[in-house]
Amino acid sequence: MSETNDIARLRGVGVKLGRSEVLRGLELGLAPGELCVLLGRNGAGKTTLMRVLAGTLRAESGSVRVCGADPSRSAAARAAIGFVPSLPDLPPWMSLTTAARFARRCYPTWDDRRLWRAADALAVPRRGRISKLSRGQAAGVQLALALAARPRLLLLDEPFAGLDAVARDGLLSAFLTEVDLEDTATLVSTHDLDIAARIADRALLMDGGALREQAVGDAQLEHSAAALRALLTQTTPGPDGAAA
Amino acid sequence: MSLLALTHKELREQAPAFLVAAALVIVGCLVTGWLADDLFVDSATFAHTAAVCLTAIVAIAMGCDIGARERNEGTQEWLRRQPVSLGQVALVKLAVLLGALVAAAVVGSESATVASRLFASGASSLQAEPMVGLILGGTVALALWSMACSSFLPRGFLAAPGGACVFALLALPAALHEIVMGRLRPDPPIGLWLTCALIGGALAALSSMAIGSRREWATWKRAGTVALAGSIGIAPTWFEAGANLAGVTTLDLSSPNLEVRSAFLHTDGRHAFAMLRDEQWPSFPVVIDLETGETVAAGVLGDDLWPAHTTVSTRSNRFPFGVLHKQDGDSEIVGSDGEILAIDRAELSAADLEPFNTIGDGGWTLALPAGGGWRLSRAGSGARAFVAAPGATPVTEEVLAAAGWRVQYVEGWLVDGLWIFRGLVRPSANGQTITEYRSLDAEAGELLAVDWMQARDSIVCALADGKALVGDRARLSIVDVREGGRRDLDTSGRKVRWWAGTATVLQATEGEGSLSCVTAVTADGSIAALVRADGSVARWIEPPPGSAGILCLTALADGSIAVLTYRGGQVLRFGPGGDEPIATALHW
Amino acid sequence: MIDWRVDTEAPEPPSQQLVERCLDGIARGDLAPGDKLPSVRALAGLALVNHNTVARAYRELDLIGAVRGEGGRGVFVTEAGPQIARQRRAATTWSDFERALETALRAGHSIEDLSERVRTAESKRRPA
Repeated sequence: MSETNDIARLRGVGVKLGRSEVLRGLELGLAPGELCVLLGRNGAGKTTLMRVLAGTLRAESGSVRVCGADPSRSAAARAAIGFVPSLPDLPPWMSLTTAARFARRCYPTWDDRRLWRAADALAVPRRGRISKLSRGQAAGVQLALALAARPRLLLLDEPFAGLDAVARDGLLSAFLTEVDLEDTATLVSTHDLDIAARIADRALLMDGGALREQAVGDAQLEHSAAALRALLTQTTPGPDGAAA
Repeated sequence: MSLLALTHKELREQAPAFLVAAALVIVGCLVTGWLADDLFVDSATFAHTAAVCLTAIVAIAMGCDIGARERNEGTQEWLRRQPVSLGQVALVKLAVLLGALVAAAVVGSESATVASRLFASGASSLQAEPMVGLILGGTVALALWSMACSSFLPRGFLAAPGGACVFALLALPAALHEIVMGRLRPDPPIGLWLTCALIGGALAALSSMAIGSRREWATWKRAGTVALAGSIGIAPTWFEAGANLAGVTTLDLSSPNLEVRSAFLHTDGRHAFAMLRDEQWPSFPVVIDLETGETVAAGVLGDDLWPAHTTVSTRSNRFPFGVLHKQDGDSEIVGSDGEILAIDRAELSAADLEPFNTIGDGGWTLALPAGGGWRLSRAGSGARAFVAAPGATPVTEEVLAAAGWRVQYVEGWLVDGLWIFRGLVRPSANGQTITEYRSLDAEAGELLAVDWMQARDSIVCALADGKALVGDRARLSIVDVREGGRRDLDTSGRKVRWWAGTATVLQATEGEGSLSCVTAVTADGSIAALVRADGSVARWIEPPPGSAGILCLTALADGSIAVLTYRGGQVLRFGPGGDEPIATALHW
Repeated sequence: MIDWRVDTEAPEPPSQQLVERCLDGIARGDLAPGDKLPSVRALAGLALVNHNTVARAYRELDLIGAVRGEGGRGVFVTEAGPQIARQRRAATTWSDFERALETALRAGHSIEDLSERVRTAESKRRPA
């Protein structure tokens, strides 16, 4: 896979939050059709990496490119990104319908049919305010919104955290059914090794502010949860709360 | 498109604050319209107050929320992820707030207008708009500043200046009360209320900006609480300040205390220029038709045209009724129809200004400086300004000095083309000051001695046929300004304390030939005398009791005399048709 | 009905597990020759695995001849599918049985004990 085709490309990215250096010389390329899982201990910098990719956090050093532009500066680059946060962060008064009305005007690639299909698959209410929905439904709403924008880069930041087993499986199933893997690069950060093992084309391991994916190796295309757990135990825990 | 989306979002988020605030003020306007006195309810001040009040409440309710909302709701990350720039977001927020403030001003003033229509008793009053623009502008600026303080900034940052701005918004009525004018000082209960609101408002503003609002509260609850607290804190004091302001910025023409401060009759013998006032303030210039009693505004309320900055002419051909109003270098000439002709001084020709070329009443004179052109300057108060008739050689200080006249103070009158000056002169080194009179021949440009004036005399007015009324306070004479003959006025045994006011040359009436009228203060009050050319009084005209004197009078076509009284602004008729009121009070 | 869900704790990789599930279904007759298998997307959702994993499993099944991909129409069980499946299952069964037998013998169980267990299992199955 040539690097020029990469949807997202991070080179030597460094980020400091306060005094702690959360990301350090981080290198990452995400190619279309890839579903990568981002693993790492608490505070390893997973969320920070997600925010850098989403453009809500500006890297202090190195370069960040999504579809050729820095997402923290380019609205066009942000328009190519779908993001599902671990906690719903839409304005609380928004429902799926009102949020879609907002997003429809902002995302040029917006697809309404895609939205309603995803909403049906995720079984989320169309009109309920996000603040009144359960965690699982709220995550579903944000996933449906992210999918409907037909993103080139889809980022899921611990979307399954805090969901009960049934909600988790429902969300995962709908995600796997609805996501377009062909043109999209997908990055899912999770602590759930079961999920990681199920869905990962590549498992990226965050350790000390950088990525260790070579340990998994491209040759091994499928992972077991046990293998991932073994990898994770080799990493050092990050400073508590640094990635918060 | 994304701007549209952002605008929709902001409108949706800020609608509760606006609606709650608007509902509160609409109810407040109705209650106020029902309870408050008519002078306030009918006046424009009510609408202005409601507009300012709602604007202030909306500014506080929305200004505290619109910028800090993303932080309070935890939607900053979401917003940053959207393919819109934060600049656009700020722009839209600003635009929505501005739009809401404008809408608030409109809704506030409209609801007050509706309330005043519903509850008005029909009492007529005039309106003024002092400081309203300033207050509105200041309100908007403060609101924007408080918003700028709270938007996109970490909690606590600039909280103090932000709080101070909200505090200032609350304190605006206090500033009105205490600083602008003493008459706006609140009643003690309202004063206490204001103090409490100021302290509470400042604490609330500071704490909300420092701590941030509680996230668990729904938007409408938070907006409602802020709007309600804002209303309770702001509305009573603002409305009280507005009511007080209405008392001093409106002129109730039905008021028994209405006075006509001064009046001048036009040469058409029908129209009078008058300044109305209610006790102290404000004054209001009107043109009164003495035949019908109708009045026309000749300016706006608060125009204090008389006497310090104005020269009134009743002799202009070009301007049927002229008031030369000088203020900050601008001049206005008011026609008898009340229309103000704003005229740049440069456009005024010598002929235009000639009618105003009188000295005395307004203290303003026209001068021809050595460099040519007309100059309006002020004589008296030690100012060394001297005058000349149009076309004549200017009389400068040098001219006077060459003639041996070293004046400290000079005033003069124009009678039948002849200037007559009275100067306070220090003739020699002994330091004594004496009064001397000179006349100026317009053609020769020469100062001539005047021997028919005595030291305590002044010229009361110019009469017809080159005659003038001159005299001191107790004695009035008629002189011929060219011939110098002097004859005492026959007061028919009436004791005149002093002769006052300007005299008016009346057209021929009652077969008497040329009559002049002069007002006089007697033991019975200010009365008027119609004076014949030979110095005898043809008729005394006494005003009705309580009217406190006559200001001006004129002969009407039917031979009767119309009189404008001082108090109440009554226009009365005396003469062949019987003595009867034409208009019992000036009306609009 | 086939339980498609894969077990991530199992030693076999997920795509291998999907191959086994398919073959089980075909061998049992849940999937008859000519039957259409779920689409890649649908099966990804059912098994909770990546599309690529499903595609890999289908390729494997295609390779051994149990199913046949027909362009864009889908993936179908072949006529020879059931037989292939049974053979594959038999091979797996025997290898599992032999592994279990070896473990039992290593643990010291006698041949009689094991024969008795086989007979008991047989008699339990018969009434059903």
